[in-house]
Amino acid sequence: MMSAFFDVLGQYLSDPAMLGLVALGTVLGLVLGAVPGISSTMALAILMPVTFGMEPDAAILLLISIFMSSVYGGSISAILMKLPGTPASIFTQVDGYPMTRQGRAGQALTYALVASTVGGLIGLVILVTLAPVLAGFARNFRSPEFAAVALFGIVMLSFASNGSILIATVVGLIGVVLGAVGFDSLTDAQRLTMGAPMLQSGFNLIPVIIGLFGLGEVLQNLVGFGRTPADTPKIGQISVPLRDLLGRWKVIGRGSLIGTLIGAIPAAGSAVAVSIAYAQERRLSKTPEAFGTGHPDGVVAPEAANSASVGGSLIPLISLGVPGDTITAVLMGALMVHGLTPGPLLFAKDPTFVAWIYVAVLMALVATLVFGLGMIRIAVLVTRIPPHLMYVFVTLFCVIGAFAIRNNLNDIYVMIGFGIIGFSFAKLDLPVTPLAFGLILGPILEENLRRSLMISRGSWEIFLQRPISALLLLLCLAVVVLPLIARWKRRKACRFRL
Amino acid sequence: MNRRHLLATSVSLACAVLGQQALAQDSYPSEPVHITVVWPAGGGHDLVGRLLGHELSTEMGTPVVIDNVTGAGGTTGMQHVADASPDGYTIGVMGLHAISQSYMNDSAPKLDQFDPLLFISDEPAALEISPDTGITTLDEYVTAMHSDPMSLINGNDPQGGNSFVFASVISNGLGVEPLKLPYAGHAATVTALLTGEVQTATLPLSPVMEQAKGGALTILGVASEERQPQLPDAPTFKEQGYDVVGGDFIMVVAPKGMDAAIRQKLSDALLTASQGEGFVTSATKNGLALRQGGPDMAAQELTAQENVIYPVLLDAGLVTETNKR
Amino acid sequence: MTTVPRSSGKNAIIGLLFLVVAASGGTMLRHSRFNWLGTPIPGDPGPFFLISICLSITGLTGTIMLGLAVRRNKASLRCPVFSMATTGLPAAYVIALIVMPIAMRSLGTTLATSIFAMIWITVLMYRQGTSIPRIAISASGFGIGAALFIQLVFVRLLTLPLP
Repeated sequence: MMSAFFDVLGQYLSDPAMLGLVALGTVLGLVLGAVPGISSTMALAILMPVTFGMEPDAAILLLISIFMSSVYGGSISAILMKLPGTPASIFTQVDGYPMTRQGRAGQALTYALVASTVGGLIGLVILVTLAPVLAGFARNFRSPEFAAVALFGIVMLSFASNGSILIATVVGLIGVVLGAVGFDSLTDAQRLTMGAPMLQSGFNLIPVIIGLFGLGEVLQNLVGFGRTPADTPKIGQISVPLRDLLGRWKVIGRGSLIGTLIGAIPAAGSAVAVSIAYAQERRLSKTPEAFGTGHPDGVVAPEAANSASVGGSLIPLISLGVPGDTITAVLMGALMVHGLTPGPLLFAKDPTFVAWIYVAVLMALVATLVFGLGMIRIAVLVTRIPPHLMYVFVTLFCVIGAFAIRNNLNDIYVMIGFGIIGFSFAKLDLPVTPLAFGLILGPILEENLRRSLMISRGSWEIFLQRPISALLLLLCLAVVVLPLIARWKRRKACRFRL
Repeated sequence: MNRRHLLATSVSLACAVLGQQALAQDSYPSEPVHITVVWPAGGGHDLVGRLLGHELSTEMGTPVVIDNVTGAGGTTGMQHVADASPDGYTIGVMGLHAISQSYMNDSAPKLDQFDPLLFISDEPAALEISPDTGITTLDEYVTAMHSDPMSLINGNDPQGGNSFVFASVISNGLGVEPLKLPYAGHAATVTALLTGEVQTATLPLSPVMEQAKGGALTILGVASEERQPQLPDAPTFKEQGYDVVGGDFIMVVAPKGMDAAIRQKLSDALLTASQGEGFVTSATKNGLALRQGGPDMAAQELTAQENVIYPVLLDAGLVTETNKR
Repeated sequence: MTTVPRSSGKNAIIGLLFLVVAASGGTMLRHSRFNWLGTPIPGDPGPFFLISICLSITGLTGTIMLGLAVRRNKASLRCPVFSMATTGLPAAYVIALIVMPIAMRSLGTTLATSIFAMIWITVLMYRQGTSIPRIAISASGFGIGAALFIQLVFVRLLTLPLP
């Protein structure tokens, strides 16, 4: 495996055409990823036919370059415009956008880029060295474990935002309810649809998050617009002192590990990985209240996890032949056009093919770092756009982005509806992020919980009989109970306040 | 490896921007043709749509665009096609799901709103089993299921999905009654079979092709008249003495009411595109059992499929009151 | 885990919001339950199980919060959060947005978006007190720019089937 890896690497590095292809793919991915409303999945799907006429190795290289760089590209719009283009960049926006408002857009972008590159590299190293081990780990995941992971994610999430834990939890539960709208995934039941076609298709994540965050922010800024002079943030420093970056090695490391592990579980996906990474970092931090107000760790941890999860998500693809999420599904579709179906057979039979993938990921990561650094200087100019133009600009992107994800006009109404929710929640000091993540994790939790119970014929013991799910449930309990005990000890005298 | 790739890529990209300027001056087609795919990018239908679109675009000399209009179990996309103006610029890829939905969901479009233009391929049902069970033949499976119906759980789509219909058809044919555990999507079902959560699955062949070749699962039977050329080792149900034949299909439809001349031109181009070498090679590599046919054959097949599926849905209690016939 | 102090007025509104969510969700759930003819697979707690639990917790929390807020501060239940003075502009913006999909369908995306852009840039710049000629230049410039950008990038390059 190793020798194949270095052979391919040497061969690509000495071939100017291949290097050109990486550069082309990276720039395309960065730009498309950074345009709000174009997701990584769309970027790949749109450019897939371009590779039909290529040799398979060139096609893989181009597609993976687009894929890897669009993952970082999505964070650019999240940081600069509070428009997360992918579910995985929701948490990047939580601390990244406040940094932009404080005139630290360049720094936020640099943090994100470096964390993303390092996270990606760590994910890749683990992928290359431990793929069989991780594949074995992932194989232990069945419905009860998926349910337990989703529950763990929801529990961690209640701690991810400032303010009352109870309120954050309830908002998360409302998100779970919203995630259930539409057709049930296990029976043919319609839920909360009132028979309307618009509700039957359920709430897609992208319109929801661009509404909640992007449009919600615009509406908030419109309050009293023109009465008080709007402040345009300064561009400020772009470079981050090396010391500050190196000082966060622990954060990057933890984020990358969480990202790779969770990415390796089929169908869990990067969104779960980033939510756990962010919440974990906030719990460990000495200054948890600084999260959400522009704390660099809040950008670094989810970015590292997001990028590392890419390495992880390739594991089910390579070892089982099933895509771990929608993006790898498109990648797999593109590979199949070239007659390369990833699967257990291919791994053993054709190490060169796997080496193509690994080398492509490596080169794409490096190229993203190089071009990404160059692009930051241009990207930060976005913050110089006067606010009135910016708001209209962001709104138009919200409208088109909401439509484009499923080519459905109804999704524009969904986006507007969630924009109003985002606005009202901010007015009431209610946290918005748990709503989005309830919507992501709820369907995973429900589907797997119910399937587990079908297998056990209704016995809840199934969750305790399997070691990994029992352990995860124990962790959930610890996360909830330990702080309560600590608080109870501290405030014996005080009365419980909401 | 040479510079041609780079050049080819840049040229195709440039074409994507500028190509649409060079529109044909005369009548149809004078603008891009949109192929609606009702499943997300990366799935089987999406792949067929993109491969076919690629060929169709050279065939008709006009850009072809794939629109993934997803949601509500494929209904949103089918509604999109049904609502489109029948001008030959919007067509859709559909399969069994559209038939099931038309009976299960009152707000889904009915089949008479579509005009079948091209039949592409059959996707015969099949029964896969995990090698961990030690069962290698259909007879052993039937015996095991008769002695303990709960011993082998079957993984399939939720009610109405194609592998759910397959599970019903196959179980009826074999006289067994497995627990049908629902999974959202074929990838999830394959994973469950490989991780051992379920012991059997009733997926079509294409998503399990590689795993079957690699020995990660055994195919007990294929519900077609003859063995499939991509997987000659997999036996049919028929040759093992069980009369189980059926499956999904992929076809291209347009909204009803198209101008006859345009319809002729479009369906001819579609048929030629689906017989083109590029499409045939890639589609076969992906495990598609091609059986291309024009509008008449497509319409016949659609009616035939409807007659197979209706009783299965009725039996499972999935047909809504208004749709009972 | 710091507890941000919240005025009891806001707490009351949040409690009320939770109650409304629970009540309307419950009503819709009853409709769905009534319309589902199928039976769940043995062992499956059913397609409405988790939703009911979530809505119950939401309703319960809402009741408690509302109760506590009312008891703690009977006098100041008036809400300072939403008033016409602060939400007039966002409300108008939302209404304009709701018209957008309709306008996109009848006028086409390009025209609809550029009209939206021109109108709102004019409104926002007027509120900032910019002089009329400057507003006219900016608004028309940006309107045309937005139209061109959407046409080139989204319609031509990415071939989105925008109406």
